[in-house]
Amino acid sequence: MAMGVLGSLKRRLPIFSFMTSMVNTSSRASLFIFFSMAGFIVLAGTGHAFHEGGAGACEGCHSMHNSLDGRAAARALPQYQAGAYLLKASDQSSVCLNCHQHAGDTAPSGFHISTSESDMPTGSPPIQLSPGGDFGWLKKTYSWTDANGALQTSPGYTHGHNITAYDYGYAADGRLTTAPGGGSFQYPSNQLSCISCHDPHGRYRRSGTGTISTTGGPIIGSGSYNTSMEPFGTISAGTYRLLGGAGYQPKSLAGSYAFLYNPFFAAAPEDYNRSENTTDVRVAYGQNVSQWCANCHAMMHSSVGTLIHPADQAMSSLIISNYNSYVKTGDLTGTQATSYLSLVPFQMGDTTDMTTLKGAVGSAAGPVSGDRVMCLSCHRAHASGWESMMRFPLDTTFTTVADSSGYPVYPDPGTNPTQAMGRTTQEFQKALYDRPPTKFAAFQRTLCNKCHVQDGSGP
Amino acid sequence: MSIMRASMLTLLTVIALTVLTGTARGEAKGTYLYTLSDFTGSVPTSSARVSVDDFHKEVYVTSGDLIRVFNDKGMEIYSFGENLNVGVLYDAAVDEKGNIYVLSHSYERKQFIITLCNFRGEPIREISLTNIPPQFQGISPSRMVYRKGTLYLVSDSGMVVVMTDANGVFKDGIDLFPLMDVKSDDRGKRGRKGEDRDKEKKELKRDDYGISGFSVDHEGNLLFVSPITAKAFIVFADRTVDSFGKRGSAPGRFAIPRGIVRDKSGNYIVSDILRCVVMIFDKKFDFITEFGGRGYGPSNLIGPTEIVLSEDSKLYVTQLTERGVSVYNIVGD
Repeated sequence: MAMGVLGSLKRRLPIFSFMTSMVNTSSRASLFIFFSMAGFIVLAGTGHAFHEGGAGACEGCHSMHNSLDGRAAARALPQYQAGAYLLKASDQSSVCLNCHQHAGDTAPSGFHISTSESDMPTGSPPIQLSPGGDFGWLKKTYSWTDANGALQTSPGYTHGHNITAYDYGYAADGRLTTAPGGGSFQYPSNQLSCISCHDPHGRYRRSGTGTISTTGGPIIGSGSYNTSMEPFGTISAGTYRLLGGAGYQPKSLAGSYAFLYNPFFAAAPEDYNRSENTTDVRVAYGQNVSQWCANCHAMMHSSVGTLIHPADQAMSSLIISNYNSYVKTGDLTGTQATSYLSLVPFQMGDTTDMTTLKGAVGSAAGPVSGDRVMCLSCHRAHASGWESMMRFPLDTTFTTVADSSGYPVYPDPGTNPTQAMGRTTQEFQKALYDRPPTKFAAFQRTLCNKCHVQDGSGP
Repeated sequence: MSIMRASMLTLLTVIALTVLTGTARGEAKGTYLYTLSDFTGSVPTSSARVSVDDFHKEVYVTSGDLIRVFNDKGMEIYSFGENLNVGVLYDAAVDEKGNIYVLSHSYERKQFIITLCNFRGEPIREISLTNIPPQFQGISPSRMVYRKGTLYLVSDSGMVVVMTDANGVFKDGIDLFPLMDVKSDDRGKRGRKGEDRDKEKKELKRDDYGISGFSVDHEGNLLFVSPITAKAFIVFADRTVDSFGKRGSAPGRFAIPRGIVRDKSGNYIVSDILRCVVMIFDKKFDFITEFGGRGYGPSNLIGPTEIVLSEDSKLYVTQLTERGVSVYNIVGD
């Protein structure tokens, strides 16, 4: 019986077989080696969501000992045909999407940030609802005839960062050849990929003192969540979402495009990718959001650019008051305790205090004095259902219309083509993260009004 | 110490040989036949869902709002689905009588729908699930398999399987996640210090996984893969579980497994989207061979995802980049 159990354990747990063979040598040295290895394994872990705040399993992305087209390491088996950088995909983003897109998803699902074409035929929206947005919106081009009889279009490429991922049907921006607002820093759009922003090897880390660097204590886990460990002693946490920091430039990108600014401080909830039909997802943003975006879009930042919407600037008392009182068009009865809206998020002061940020995850509280407007107040980082990757529609007067009883409904492309802008009501609602139209007023005006309140008395 | 050194040397030698050369055992191979086509050439689909009707020798390819039907020579002979008005189509399955079950998700109705259609794809009625126990009532299936009077409804992200009869009456259900026996250290270090860490793992880890490539073999065993942990699982009829697979890029290793089926010889066939190969393992999980390989030749594969095996040993492999569905002949020992 005992042998049977042992045999079973050996079959299920190869390490157990190794251990017993070591014990059989009756060697204290062997046991020491084994338990040292076991201790290391426990400390290092095997990585749940693969990255663990740093470099994941190498062979999750790379194919070892292969070369481009397999020329130098050709063998009989076909797996020796590899791509650039030993990647088994057409390009870097395609490697990422091997895990971060999953055909067959029926609802927002964990770490998926792109929807397969097969799951979003014409008239059906992308599925994922992560705060960064679903790249699938890049594949959604809309056209409609407006009230003046003119044909209008909302091309897919205007809906987000046009990553190149050939295997997954994502192509470079055909209109913008460099990052808009880049000034002299003209990041080439045909080189834009997931690793333009996210360091695939996760070298950037946050120490216990809040310092961000590529050196220092080992990264022992993700630093992205309100549940993430905090760095201590010589142990570091990964930066938010593996974002690259000062000096970061993908190896595959020729030229001088190294980032100037470190990643921002932020904390996300574990259930960040979900419908917001009842409650908002609150990512608490701290210092450096807009600076980090300025790595590529410097001229759009208040410190450098001109004639621009403020970014990384403290909200005035009037703006804060507006934000907190604004509920919807014609309704200014809100209070600071419940005024947060993820369609118009804000940066919490200039804080680097992760305790503060983690504590704000899940909070519905609106801004207080010192809180800042940031790039992400209006834009999503990946893509959105609206032009210029806006969080809310900007190109239509009304976000909602009214049914025969006067209740708010999303515009129907057949009866309200100008407001619907080619989107079906399903697409419209999904682009607003599943919020039912009743979250808004009938004839709701654009959410610029959340801060600027020009629609206080209704349409 | 000399004994220990000898043991270590032997162990390392075995590991090295396994890693570097692969372990070629048994006799099995996959030979490219053709790509599913119409009269204009191969049909360009990406990440489609395939099901085989072994009764009538037809193949169903579901993608978006269309279900294409191919004959056993790989030619498209029919299509339907555009006018079903049941939302986004996810899967199709066919019973012995030629009835077609269509799985879809409707945004308007905010639910999944199983539509029973006749052999022309014309809707007969919707099938509602009944007697579903509370723990399975929230299922949002993305897959559907029909086997011998049982409909298997599978949620990849939820990692659950609900089995019903052909009328939707509950027969059984399985939560696959506990069976995957994910080790505590598979879950990461969030809240690593002290008791909080274990508490968080129990509460949160499910969302970080998900399954792929569900199939039912000829013995009724359930097969699926875990892309994140790079493992393949078999749930036997008695609910015992076995698994195999190791992360790696050498022949026979898993990078990101996405599909799994079992042939009549008992061999396991696994597709890997990153390595762009289809691997064959014998019934003892020993690696036999692999085929495909990334490339644009007819027999190559670009991002193989789903695999389905017909009774006449044709393996249907779906791919990315509108490469469509490649068909291979599997010869086992």
